[in-house]
Amino acid sequence: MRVRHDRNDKAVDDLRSYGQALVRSVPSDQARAAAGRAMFSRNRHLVVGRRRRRLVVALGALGLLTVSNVGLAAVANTASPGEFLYSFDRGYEWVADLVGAKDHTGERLAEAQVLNARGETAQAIALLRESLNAEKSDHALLASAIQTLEFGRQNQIDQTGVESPSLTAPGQIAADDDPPTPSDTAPGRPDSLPSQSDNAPPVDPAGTQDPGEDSSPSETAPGQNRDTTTTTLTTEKANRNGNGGVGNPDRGTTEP
Amino acid sequence: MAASETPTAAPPSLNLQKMEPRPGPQPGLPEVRWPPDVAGVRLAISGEQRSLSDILRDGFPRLVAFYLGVGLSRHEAEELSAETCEAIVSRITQLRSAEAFEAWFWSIARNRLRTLFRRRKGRKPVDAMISPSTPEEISIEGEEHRRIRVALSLLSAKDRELLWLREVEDLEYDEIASRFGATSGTIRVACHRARRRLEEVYLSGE
Repeated sequence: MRVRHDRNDKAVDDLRSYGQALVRSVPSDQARAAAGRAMFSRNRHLVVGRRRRRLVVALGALGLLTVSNVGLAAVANTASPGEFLYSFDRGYEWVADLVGAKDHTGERLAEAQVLNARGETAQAIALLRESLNAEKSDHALLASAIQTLEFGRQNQIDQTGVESPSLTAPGQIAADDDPPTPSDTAPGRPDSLPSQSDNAPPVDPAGTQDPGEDSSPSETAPGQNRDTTTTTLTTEKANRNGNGGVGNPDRGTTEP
Repeated sequence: MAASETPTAAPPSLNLQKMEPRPGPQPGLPEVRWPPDVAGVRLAISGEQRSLSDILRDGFPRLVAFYLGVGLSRHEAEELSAETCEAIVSRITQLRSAEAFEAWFWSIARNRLRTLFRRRKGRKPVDAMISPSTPEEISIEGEEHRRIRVALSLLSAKDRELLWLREVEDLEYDEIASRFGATSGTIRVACHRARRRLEEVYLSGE
């Protein structure tokens, strides 16, 4: 409790009286309403602040999720079969297929090439066969590749007497990246596959085989396809990328 | 000075009964506690809405009176008081010490007033203290109050604020000094001079 001044000052006394009169001149209802409005303004600020905070958190989480997803998809896109991120790559492709996606034949061929180079020809063939079931795949191209791989594998078996999982030694792909010369693809060789541009059906060297079946080893010399299998796969991929018109359009259609 | 010592009789037309201090809580109305007790302020700082609402309800009339006392019109005083209440509500959690509530409360009121004066700059100031603006004010006003209102209107804005905070709101010199950015001694001298000036103009009007 404060001690009031005991000055006998009329002006100050009247000032105090005037102040108290002004305080009393404000109706209590008005004071209560003003307090209520002020409290409401605080609650409004709190509500708005809370909503804004939630919105910012939600948008931040969404942005983080988007960025991480895009980054993961970009990294996984280069993954090859057997790697940890490969399953993510296939998952993203599956999602992309759901929203109207594209043909993944090129990627499958590249992956089959990696598998073949790694010595896993059977897995490469299985991968390509699996892709044959996709609606938007280039079936002719995949069938040709399968045929090429199986033909080479059969040659390998005939040559060594042992079923080897690989057609080519690891590292051979790099050496065979050059475009094929006419001498590389002898007439009648089973790995001379049609390009995607001319849309020709897969080659049956014997004229009786369906794509995917094993070729007869007697139709080519043993060891002949061993050097050209990877080259053909590379060429097919190059054809798919728009270089198909450059190559020999008669490849795969020549007579044995 | 003899005139100031002589008690002035109220004219018959004046309603001085309304000027008498309120004896206590009126039936049906909440008790007015000003300045608010420290416990209530602590609750308000901690976010207790009822305590804060009570403080605002009791503080709003004092804000209106302060703004009227320094020369605003009734409408301006009520609007500014409402703004001040909102500012208090939004900043109450920043108050560190519940004991310093009153000085903090009046510093916000002063800051709002200065903002209003700054907004008014360039326009012709309207001193509402020259004449009461509403019939209600006229009805509650007595002769002394009319004279003190006119005397206040002749003082500077700083003198009005100092006198109001010191004499009406009964703030300590230290509390006023902390809000005016001056020493306690300076405020003490300034208050003394303001009182002298008020007395001069008040007595000159008799």
